[in-house]
Amino acid sequence: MLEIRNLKVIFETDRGAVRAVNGLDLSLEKGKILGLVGESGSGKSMTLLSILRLVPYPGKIVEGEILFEGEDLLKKSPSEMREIRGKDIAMIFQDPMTTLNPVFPVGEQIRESLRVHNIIKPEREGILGFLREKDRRKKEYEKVVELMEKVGISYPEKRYFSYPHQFSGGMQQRAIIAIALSCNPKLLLADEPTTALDVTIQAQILDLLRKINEVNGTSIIFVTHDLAVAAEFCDEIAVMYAGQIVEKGPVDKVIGEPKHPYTKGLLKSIPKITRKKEKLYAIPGNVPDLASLSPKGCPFYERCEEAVEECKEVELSLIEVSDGEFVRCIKYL
Amino acid sequence: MHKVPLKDGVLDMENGTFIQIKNLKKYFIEEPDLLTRVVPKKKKRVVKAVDDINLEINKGETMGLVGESGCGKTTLGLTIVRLYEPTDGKIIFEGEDIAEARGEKLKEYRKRAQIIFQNPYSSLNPRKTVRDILTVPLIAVGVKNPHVREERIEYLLERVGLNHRHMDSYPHQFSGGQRQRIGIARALAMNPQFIVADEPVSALDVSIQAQIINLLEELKEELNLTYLFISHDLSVVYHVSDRVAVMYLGKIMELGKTEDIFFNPVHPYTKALLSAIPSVDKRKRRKRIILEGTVPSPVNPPKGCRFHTRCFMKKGKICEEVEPQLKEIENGHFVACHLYS
Repeated sequence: MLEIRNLKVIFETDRGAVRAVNGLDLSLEKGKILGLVGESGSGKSMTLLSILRLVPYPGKIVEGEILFEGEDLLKKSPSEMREIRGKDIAMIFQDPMTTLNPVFPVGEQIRESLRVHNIIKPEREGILGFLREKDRRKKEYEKVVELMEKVGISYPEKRYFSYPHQFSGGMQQRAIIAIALSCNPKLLLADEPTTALDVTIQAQILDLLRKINEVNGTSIIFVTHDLAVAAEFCDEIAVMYAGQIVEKGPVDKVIGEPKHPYTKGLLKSIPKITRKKEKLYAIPGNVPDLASLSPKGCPFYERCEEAVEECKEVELSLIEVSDGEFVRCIKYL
Repeated sequence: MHKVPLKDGVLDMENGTFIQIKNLKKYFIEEPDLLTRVVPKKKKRVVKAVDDINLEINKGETMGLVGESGCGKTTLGLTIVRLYEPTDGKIIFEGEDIAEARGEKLKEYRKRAQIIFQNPYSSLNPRKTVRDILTVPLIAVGVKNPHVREERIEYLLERVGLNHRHMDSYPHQFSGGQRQRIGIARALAMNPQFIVADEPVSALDVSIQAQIINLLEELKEELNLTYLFISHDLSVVYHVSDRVAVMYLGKIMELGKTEDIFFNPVHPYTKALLSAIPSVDKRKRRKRIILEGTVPSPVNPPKGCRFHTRCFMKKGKICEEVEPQLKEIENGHFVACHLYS
């Protein structure tokens, strides 16, 4: 359904080219949930934005293909892209407080996406259609209320006219999910949708997204820095580091038997609730600065405890270690 | 400094009480606007962020404080270090009530109780170098000799895992984890005995989070510190705390040893909160209790038990009418719930 091949996104800055996404390969089947996990600056959000061709200036997609249902999104014209955004591929952003427009009622903002994509068609074209505007609005209103109900906003008729600041964080995120669902997208891109929310609200939102996935068969790419959330919610996981995928595969494999030293380190550094308390393992060093990262060799080299001399030089691609499981590490060559 | 002996994992309660918080309240009262100045309203809007809290922290222990956003945990932390004026109640620190301390006495308290803030990006002045940032507290403690100060800054930086070469750098030149280390160094400069850590790792990446948690634990051992560790991340709190208090809408709902709270929770809210923690380990996952709705507004908290609007184990009318008191159900395990009274 979605296939990304050798995607490269570069930011031209004063300090040189920053390779935010560096040769990324990814594929997603219909109805599946893919988790994209990584720390800040690992390029996970950029990957999502590239799919919608929304990479902000001065970033540029310089290489690669993004095939969505067989068609390359990178070859589409801007107007064709506008058709796809929101309709076939919808996105949920991290911070619900800044995503909604504070000066319009929430319901109107959901209605806008119905209108833009012409979901409720006017009964007649031309001037007569214009005269029937009132009917069309009413139908749209009904559809919005239905959507709001579906995502769990109580009293949707009343809430339609509320402004974003009158909603709590969890409710705002529900409203955004309603916007994303308004056109029944085939693919939903969720960029840290629960990071700004409390655990109990996070559980509600994840529950809602899972229902959407099961009922509508919507595929989801779920970006998060929280491995535990990804482990519970996704079918497949791809771990990103410095713009590359270092490990990907089915959840049980990646979380259960991690292969890459970075994945292992991440898993060890999460505090766990077990009877025995141990000192936490901490990956040494800092998240790398992409601008000063050497283009050659493994980007994790400096922080890796299992590194050998060759890691500095070798150019690696993803290596298939077992069915559907890929690792980018010299140890599995 | 003598260390309080450990008695089966719990610190000695009688000799060890270090900070005692008695009926602490912090209300935020609505400022009158022009209209209400002319026509006074009958009832002012009052946010009861911290409402009648009793808590004892023993010497050398880490008290974890958890709760959802808006439950008042940060307000409680800030009030304890007197960055907020308490509305009512007592904060007894080593036998002295400092809730209304002023002048010299407050200064003296500040030397012994410090705070680490949540956001390392906004808690450091961007126009000051690390040297400036660390010099101010040292002057406040009374280190007058600049050479001694210099040495002390070098020591502090090294202690938190930074290099003395960093002394003349500005905050923006550091990563989030490094900035949090500077924040910790600043708190340590006063040589405190008690530190309120207000979500010290929430803004950091997973791999950096572990480094900071380990640093805080090492410092505690080495300098014999006492922590009040505030976080919404339950796994982190579990990892660092000896005892845990669960807050909801300005009240403590459950309080006890970390193991009791996490493996034997009794309050429905604690149960729901714990069930919502995602886990990497499949076998560890609990059956999820999904709480309906969100935290009600603290302006008009629900009558009776504050949790009754979302509670899935509501007993009946009593929950809506009578406010449950914090009661000890077993050794050191307190709960405020009608199911256990």
